[in-house]
Amino acid sequence: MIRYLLRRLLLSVVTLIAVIVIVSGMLHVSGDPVAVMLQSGIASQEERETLRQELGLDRPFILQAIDFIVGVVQGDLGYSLRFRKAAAPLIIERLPATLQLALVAMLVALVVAIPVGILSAMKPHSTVDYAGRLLTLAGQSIPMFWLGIMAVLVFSVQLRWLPSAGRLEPTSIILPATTLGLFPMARIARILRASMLEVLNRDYIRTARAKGLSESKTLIGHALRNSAIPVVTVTGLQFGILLGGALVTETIFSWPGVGLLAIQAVTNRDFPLLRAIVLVMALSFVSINLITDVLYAYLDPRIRYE
Amino acid sequence: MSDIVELRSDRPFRTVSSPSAFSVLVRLLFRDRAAVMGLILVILWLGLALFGPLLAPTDPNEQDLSMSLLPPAWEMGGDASYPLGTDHLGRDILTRIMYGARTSLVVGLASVGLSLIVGAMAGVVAGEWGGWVDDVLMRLADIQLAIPFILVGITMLALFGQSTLNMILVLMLFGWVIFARLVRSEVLILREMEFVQASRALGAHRLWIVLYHLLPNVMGQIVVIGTLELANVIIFESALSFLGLGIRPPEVSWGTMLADGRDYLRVAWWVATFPGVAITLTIVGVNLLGDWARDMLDPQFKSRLEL
Repeated sequence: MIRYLLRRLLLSVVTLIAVIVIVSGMLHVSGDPVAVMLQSGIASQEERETLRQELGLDRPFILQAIDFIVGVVQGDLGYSLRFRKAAAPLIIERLPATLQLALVAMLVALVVAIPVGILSAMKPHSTVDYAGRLLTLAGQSIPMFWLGIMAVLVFSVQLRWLPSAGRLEPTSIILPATTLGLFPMARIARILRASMLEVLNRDYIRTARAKGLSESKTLIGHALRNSAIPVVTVTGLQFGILLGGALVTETIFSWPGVGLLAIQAVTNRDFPLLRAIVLVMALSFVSINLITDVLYAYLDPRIRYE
Repeated sequence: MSDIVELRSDRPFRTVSSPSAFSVLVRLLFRDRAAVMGLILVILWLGLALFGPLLAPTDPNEQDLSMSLLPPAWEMGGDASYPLGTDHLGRDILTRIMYGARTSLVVGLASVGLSLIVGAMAGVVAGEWGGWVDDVLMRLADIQLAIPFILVGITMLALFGQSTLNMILVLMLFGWVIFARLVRSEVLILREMEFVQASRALGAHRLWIVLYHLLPNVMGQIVVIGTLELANVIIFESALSFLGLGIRPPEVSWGTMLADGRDYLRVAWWVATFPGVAITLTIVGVNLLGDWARDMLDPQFKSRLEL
């Protein structure tokens, strides 16, 4: 188990370093961020040079990348050109909003997906099953950004039930979280149904029934527990995808999270800030995958001895 | 096994353990109907993209501010020459949807085609040659999966400039991984099979084996994944355009139309609604066809049950 963990951890670190190098490389080829930033020409030549030196942009690329990595280890993610501050606090300030959105969205997804998945596996081709199938197709096919806009149209503009933007009221989270949650909801319901169907065909379920165990005990104690493994994996993966989706959802609902900050960074051509955001997102993504893998190995002992 | 379950007929599990002929029939019928539905939607999309612009009465970028924000023809104040209404600049929404269909078709096919080629090549090389090439390629794929794609997309488009070509390249970067992984895993299985071993023993060149044995045998799966990928790519294109980082005027994208409509949601619901309907119907169609193709390709009954 420990060896497995260490190997996964090492791979994650390698991945993160590669992400830094690639993103820094892209930043480097795309041109001088200071020139882009100060296009208006307000700053004089000397001012530009000073800023460039301050940011270490006059040094060779490899040294810049190493500097950046060393900085990252010490918690320094670079400098936002636009806000004229360190990038890390800017992101940390926005992180709770994004995490809250992602968590609530995942909760919404699970609350719907688990019963739908179980019921549709118990009664294939029943009404519940077809409803679940429709949900899957809808979740796969309706673009999140349109769904969000339509939700605003119906619930904020027409019915005036819920706020359309911001994060001021407790009800503010309902629309963005539901919008963001639909895709993972569809995925998880589908996987759970498939995995339940497979498990329900197994011998040990037959044994459980044959020995007269009640149906609910068979379902929850035997079937659900064994169907949980793929669901855990998919939930973990979907969580990462949620972080990307948050970018779009936050834009639609003006939710003040990291995603909105990323869009602002792009609009302001604040590339160092953008690089820091990409890194933080990659870090969250990699950690979530790592946790998922560990959980997976814990749930299914066969993985550990691979 | 079905006997045991059937003894307890108050339990709802009979159809799981052994589907009756009737339920199989119903299921196949349903599937086929879904596939037919998908086909109709895809044909509609292709028709709009290929012939719409030829039939459209107006230019998609023709502005007429006196006609701005006209509601659809069937609403009060609508105008029959603008069936789906106009946007804030007085442009005809139906015409723009047709041109948007063309954009999504061009971008979708080009990027999926490119990712298919690049991904299949990477997968074959990784699977057949193995060694460090395999390691490097698969690590690259991992790294790519470690960042939310939409963030990579906006970063690259912001850094390298927005254009249709850049959009296609960015989407290719997103798409190659799945093809590479698929082809690699299939090649690893195929290369151990007897007909491939036999060919090798007869002294066939590696390239011959790749071209005549390996690739033809993964083609079916590649096409299926390609179809499902097309749906993803169309969504990504409109998402990036929606965020203001994709297709630029005078090209029309459903995503940009949506973004325009969002600003006028309170006064003109139709501007944001119809482009979204177009995207959704297209994606539903492509997904239905893709699901059907996957089932047809998979001879095992199990996968049909799972869907």
